[in-house]
Amino acid sequence: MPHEAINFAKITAEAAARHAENGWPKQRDEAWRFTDLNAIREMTLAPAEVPSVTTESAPPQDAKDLIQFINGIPQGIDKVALKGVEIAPLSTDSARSSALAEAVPSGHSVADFALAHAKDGVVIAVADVGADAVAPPLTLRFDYRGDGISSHAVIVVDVAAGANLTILEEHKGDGVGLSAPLMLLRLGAGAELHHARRLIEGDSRHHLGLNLVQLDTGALYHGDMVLAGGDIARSETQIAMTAPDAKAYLNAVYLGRDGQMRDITSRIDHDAPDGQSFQRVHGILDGRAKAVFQGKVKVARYAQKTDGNQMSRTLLLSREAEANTKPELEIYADDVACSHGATIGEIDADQLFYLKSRGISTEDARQFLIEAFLVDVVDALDEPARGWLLEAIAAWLERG
Amino acid sequence: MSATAETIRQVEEATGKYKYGFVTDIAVDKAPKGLDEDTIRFISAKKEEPAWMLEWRLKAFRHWLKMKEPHHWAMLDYPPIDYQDIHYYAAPKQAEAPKSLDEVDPELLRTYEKLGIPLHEQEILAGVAVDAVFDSVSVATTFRAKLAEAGVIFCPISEAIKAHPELVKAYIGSVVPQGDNYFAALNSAVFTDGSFVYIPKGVRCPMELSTYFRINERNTGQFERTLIIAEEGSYVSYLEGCTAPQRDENQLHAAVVELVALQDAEIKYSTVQNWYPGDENGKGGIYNFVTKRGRCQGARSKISWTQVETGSAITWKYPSCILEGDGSVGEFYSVAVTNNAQQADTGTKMIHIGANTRSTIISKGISAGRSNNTYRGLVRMLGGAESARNFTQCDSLLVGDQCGAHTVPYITSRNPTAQVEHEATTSRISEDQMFYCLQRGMEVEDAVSLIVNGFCKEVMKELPMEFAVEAQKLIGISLEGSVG
Repeated sequence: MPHEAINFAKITAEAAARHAENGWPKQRDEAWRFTDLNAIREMTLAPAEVPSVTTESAPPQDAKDLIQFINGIPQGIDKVALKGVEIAPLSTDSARSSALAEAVPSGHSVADFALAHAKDGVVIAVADVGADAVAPPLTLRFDYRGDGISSHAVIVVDVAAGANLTILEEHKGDGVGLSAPLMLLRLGAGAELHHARRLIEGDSRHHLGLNLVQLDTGALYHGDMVLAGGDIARSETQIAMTAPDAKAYLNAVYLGRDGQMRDITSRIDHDAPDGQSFQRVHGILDGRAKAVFQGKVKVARYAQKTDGNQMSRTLLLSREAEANTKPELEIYADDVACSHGATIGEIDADQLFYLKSRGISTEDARQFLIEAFLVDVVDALDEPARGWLLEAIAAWLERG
Repeated sequence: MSATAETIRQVEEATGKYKYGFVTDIAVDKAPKGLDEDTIRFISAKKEEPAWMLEWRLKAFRHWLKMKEPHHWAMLDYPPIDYQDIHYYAAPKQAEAPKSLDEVDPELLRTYEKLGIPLHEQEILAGVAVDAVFDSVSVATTFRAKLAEAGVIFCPISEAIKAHPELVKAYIGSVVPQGDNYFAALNSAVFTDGSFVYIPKGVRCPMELSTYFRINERNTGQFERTLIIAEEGSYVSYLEGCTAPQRDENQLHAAVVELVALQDAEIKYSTVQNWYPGDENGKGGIYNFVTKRGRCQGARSKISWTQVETGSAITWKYPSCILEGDGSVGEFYSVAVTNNAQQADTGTKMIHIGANTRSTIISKGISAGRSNNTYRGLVRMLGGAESARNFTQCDSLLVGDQCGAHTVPYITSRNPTAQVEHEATTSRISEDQMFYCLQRGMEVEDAVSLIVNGFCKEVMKELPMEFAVEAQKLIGISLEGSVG
């Protein structure tokens, strides 16, 4: 089908119509089985308006490697000056607008909601500037303010063949609101994207994020995340490997306490041979927190020589916390090596005893073992994401 | 049997068509096609049931009418079933119940012989009491005397309803309620027969109990209902094996099995399921929608499910354990083989309620041909499951590149002291393994059979000996034509 000239307004109108028809997902929808959205359904939300430019909302003058989003709306995107990186509004880019419209999974009501109320989107296009030029990371800083506001950031990241980029993405802010960021990340042949995210919004906020990743031949997507904020917080990642030899690494830490909900959902479609995907998800739950990791790896018939691996571990610190895991394999190719593992449990009593018998206090020993629980994920992180994400973990642990 | 004779037989099996594909022609007393309250009254009247049983059935039926066939979650694809196009009752015609095997219709006995169930021989050699279910009515029950001596009740459930109504009334539907799911509700309404086992307090059942189910009459759905109650400190091992004649129409089977284990009791339930899987294109074949569930009601009780599933066009089956008693144990060992166009969606549920409960799940799925084989399991640790443990391992093996192997585990924990571990792998027969076998002169099919049996070893060793031998051969036969 030839690409029609499709404009952004039309896409958002269509998404709005779909969301109006389907409403919010319910728990009887398999993809939302563990996450109850009633609290969000009952909210009265108004889509964010363009903020008046005040000194507070404007990004620092010298920030050449930063895009700030106030309630999902980008500020001063023309100030970014990174070699090989071009930033532009999505509404003037009909090719990328239609790519986004095509990429949104049908019947995905949260994606429709994000699109429906987006005023505009941002395109981040990265060109190949040669291997020697190591570009500094691009920071995407999402700031949320005010009550009763829903934020709809729509971003298309295009990493050209052979190019590479590191993104540090942060979501923070207070108030009673909902953030629903939607990202399409397209990686050309041999491109690399390191995408680190820390989700540390306030306790009264909800977060429903969706990342759609498309990988061309030999492309590498590295997604690292700390999900430590918000009341109901879900991060969903869908990765499509439509060309051979693509690789995806997903490392996630989720941290929840009180009555918070943590939801890490992933779906990886291996649609071409020689692909690799590795997922490592570690969670710590305290109080009445509830969490789910649901990850699906689908290997198509012709995606031979696929390596797919998922590992999920959950540490329960309280009697009231609840952990759910649903790692799913759907495999139609025979020459593959796919596996998943999952564990749920508390701090190992023997380990605790070992430390205490050496004179370490119970509290210190516990703290030590909690941190040790995250080591597998933390060790898999690279700088600069590593230190940046560790800060978020440390802040959460200190608060406990 | 000499080695040569054994080889010849295996070759015959390997080259022949479905071994058990034959139809026995016996005059049949059957209900007209279709399902309404009158059908249920007909079945109940035929069975000379008391009024409470009929009421129970009707309640289930009314519930069923309100339910929808589950089509959305299992990875199964089959045309809609016309529930009005099925005979819900078929019984071999007999003047009166046989007193001994001599009175049994010789045609029936020949059927069993073809199936390899020599009743007479089994009495003497294997020490196995067989409650043979031919279509819907239990025809011959052996070893009654020896079992009665131990106080064990082993009889058709239709008989138990009349002879031991207090037991049946107390336990039927206590593990699988009438409205549990669509197929269980259907079964509750129309079940025709099945086995009833009662092991009294402190008794170790003197022999392994065995029932062979047969689906024989054309267009007769088979709705078996089995209830096993193990009183305090008792033990029973129950064997269930299935074969069916070859035919073209799909046949519906919706069985319900309920197990109740009281304090310190143990029930071991083993199944070899070898119903007609349909031809290479999936035409014909049995639809097998089974609800099997055990309740470990008492402290330290144990229920162990072992299954080898090689037959049926559609398998929908999740033998489960409700671990209620403190320190109770649930086990699930499964081998599921699918070939050609077969589809299996099978697994287990382990619901940990009591403290110190333990469960083990070992599942081996083998897909060949164009088949799809799904493991679907649930492990749930409830708040009171103090220090409970679960270990799950599900491995899938793909034979050929046209089949699918899927794993869908659900794990939920609400108790921090509970430990859940889950592992799953998917792979294929390695070239090294094949090469090793072939260079020692083995045929490809034998090599596949050997490797696959090795892959399933952990489960096969759980089977009683008589079953293990049959099951090993079945796996080999089931994978015929899948390689080379």
